[in-house]
Amino acid sequence: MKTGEEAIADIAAAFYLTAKEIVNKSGAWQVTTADGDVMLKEYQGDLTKLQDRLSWYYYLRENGVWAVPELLHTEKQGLIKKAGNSYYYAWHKSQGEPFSGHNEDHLVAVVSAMAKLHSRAVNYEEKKRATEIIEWQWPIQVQARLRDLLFFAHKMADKRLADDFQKVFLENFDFIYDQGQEAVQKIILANCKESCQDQFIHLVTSFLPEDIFVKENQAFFSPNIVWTRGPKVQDLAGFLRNYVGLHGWNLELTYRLIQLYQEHNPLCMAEKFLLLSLMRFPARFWLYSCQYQKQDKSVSELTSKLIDLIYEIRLRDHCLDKLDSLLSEDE
Amino acid sequence: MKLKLKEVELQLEQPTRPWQVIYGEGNTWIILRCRYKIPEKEISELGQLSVESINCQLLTKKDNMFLYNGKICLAASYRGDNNPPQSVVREGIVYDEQEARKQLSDTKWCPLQSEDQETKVSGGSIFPSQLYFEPSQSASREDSGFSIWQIELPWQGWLLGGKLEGQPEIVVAHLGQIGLRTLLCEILLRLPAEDSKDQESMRPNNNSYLVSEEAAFIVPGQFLTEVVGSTVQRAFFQLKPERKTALEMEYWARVYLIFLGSNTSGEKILTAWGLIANKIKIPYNQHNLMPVFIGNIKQEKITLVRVSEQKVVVKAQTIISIEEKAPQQKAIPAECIAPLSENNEDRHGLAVSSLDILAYRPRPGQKWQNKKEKSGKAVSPQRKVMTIKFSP
Repeated sequence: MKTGEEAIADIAAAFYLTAKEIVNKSGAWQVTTADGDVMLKEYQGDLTKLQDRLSWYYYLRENGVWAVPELLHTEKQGLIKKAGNSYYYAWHKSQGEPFSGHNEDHLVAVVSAMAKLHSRAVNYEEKKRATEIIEWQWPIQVQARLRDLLFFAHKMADKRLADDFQKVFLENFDFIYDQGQEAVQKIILANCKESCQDQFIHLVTSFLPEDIFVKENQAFFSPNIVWTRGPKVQDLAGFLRNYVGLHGWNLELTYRLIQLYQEHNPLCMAEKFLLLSLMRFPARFWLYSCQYQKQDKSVSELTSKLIDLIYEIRLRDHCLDKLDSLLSEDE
Repeated sequence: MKLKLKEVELQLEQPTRPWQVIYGEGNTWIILRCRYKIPEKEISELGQLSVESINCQLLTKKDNMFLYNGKICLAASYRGDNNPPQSVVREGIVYDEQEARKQLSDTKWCPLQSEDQETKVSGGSIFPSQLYFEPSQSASREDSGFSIWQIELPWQGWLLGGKLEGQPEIVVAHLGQIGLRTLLCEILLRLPAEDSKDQESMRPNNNSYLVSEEAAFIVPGQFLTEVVGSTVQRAFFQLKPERKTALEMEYWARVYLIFLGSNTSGEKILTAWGLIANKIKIPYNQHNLMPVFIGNIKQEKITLVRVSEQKVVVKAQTIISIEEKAPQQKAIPAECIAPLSENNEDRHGLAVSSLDILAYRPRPGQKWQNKKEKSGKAVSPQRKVMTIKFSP
């Protein structure tokens, strides 16, 4: 019976790699070879969509998008190595500075790289129209989740306050619920069913710090093969939600990043509404409530996170209100 | 030999706002609660709670029940935070954000819709909370920077068993923070009744007996720091002879426990109740062939002993008087009596005595029958006749 490292060494050998050392790093294996570090990762998405994902990846590399590294070939000239029921892919670890959300230059570099990648993705979609028909669930999901929150709040209000989480939750529920309602309102204005569905592209999806490197003001993404598809503003909203909060939802910075994105991918009014909606929806408030209900984490930890989130949402609300006016004026 | 104490599991009562009244024999407890949400400011410090005024007046009286109402005015001070944190976003939120987006797009059943699990007993609270057993009588306006929350709490309640003895007593007051900018004030008010009954008749003698009851009460899921009070309401008495040497009295008792909870909840003054089927023996030695009745019941003494964080032992001494004649029937209230006809006779020509009078109740369909009779005789004056002329 082979150990995990031995099995990975065998898989690495299929990519012509002689492993000196193998370390597991947040879901991927870092294989040290004589030529440098190589990352090896298991594909965890839908297998039926793997071919489409690879084809998209190929297209990016063929068209000179270097924001994603080249995938290594296997001995059978493929990009994927099958081992048992698992599928692996490998790439050379990007050399550069680790991404930091606090660094404004890094934010600019990522938005710029993302915008270029998205503009390629739009061309790709035009070439390969209707390869995958997907039902975008976001507008339905948003309303369903808001309904869940409302149900939970009523259930909580009927009982005695049991802990600090419940106190903070109930105290701020009206404000948060209004944020959700405003997000729904913006989705309606965006008219997603009509305006957005035909503009779905492959998205970067993951903006975790360990998946991004910055070198000479250029951002590089890890080759996350699970490129989900959706409206392009979903990526932009996701990235801004992750990192603009670290800058106190600075309006000037947020607007600058959106304008930078628009230099490569101009957004129509419907997309702007959708962007504002995605940025406003209190997804983490819903997540923490779920974690509290499931008793996944301690009450004190969740209360602390909830309080921080309330402060952040207040700042975000202020920023998004002004951003709404600025984006409308641009039209 | 040590007898095992009867254990009763009480049910925690949901604290309600703005008031909660618990009636008992000789005592009425009123819990007043109110919340105040400070607009646009976080609370950084809690100040003092002081009583500015308290008044009460008798509204009405019925038998041995007295209805009182009044108002308590309090002042609570707090310090608002003028500089709330501008940025509290930590780097780790990226992972939560990623997780939230992933879970949101999942169409599986949301845990928020699921049923609640067992009552959670959590640790300490990050929000301050203060209890006052003797709140100061004058509002102490603190240094600058403190804001005052003026509280007015009107109350009303029946007092059973006698007139109010003196003034309503503030047993405990609680000022707490229940959120970033929400204050909670709770007041426990006690209305003691003065002993208006004939003292002589209620002393243990030939017909009055001192009965001792003892039980242990358990409040599940709660930590009791202090038991403040208790009331008992008894009903459904049944007396039976027991071997010609004693009487066996069966009754139901609804016991209320008023206590201070120690967990992190917003409300600290809590109540729990339980229904107990009781059976006690009264050493009744007068061998009478006729059945006897229960006269007066007086709660002589209640001792509350907190045994553990969830358990209280209640020792009660009660004086019960036995009467050989039935207690006098209460007069039928005037509102229940229908007006008498002029000749005091019913349809069958029988005389109606005042004792037989019951509330007037029309026969089924009588209302409609009357209408039908009337409508056949005369045309309704409200009927309108409209004439339309067609000219050629």
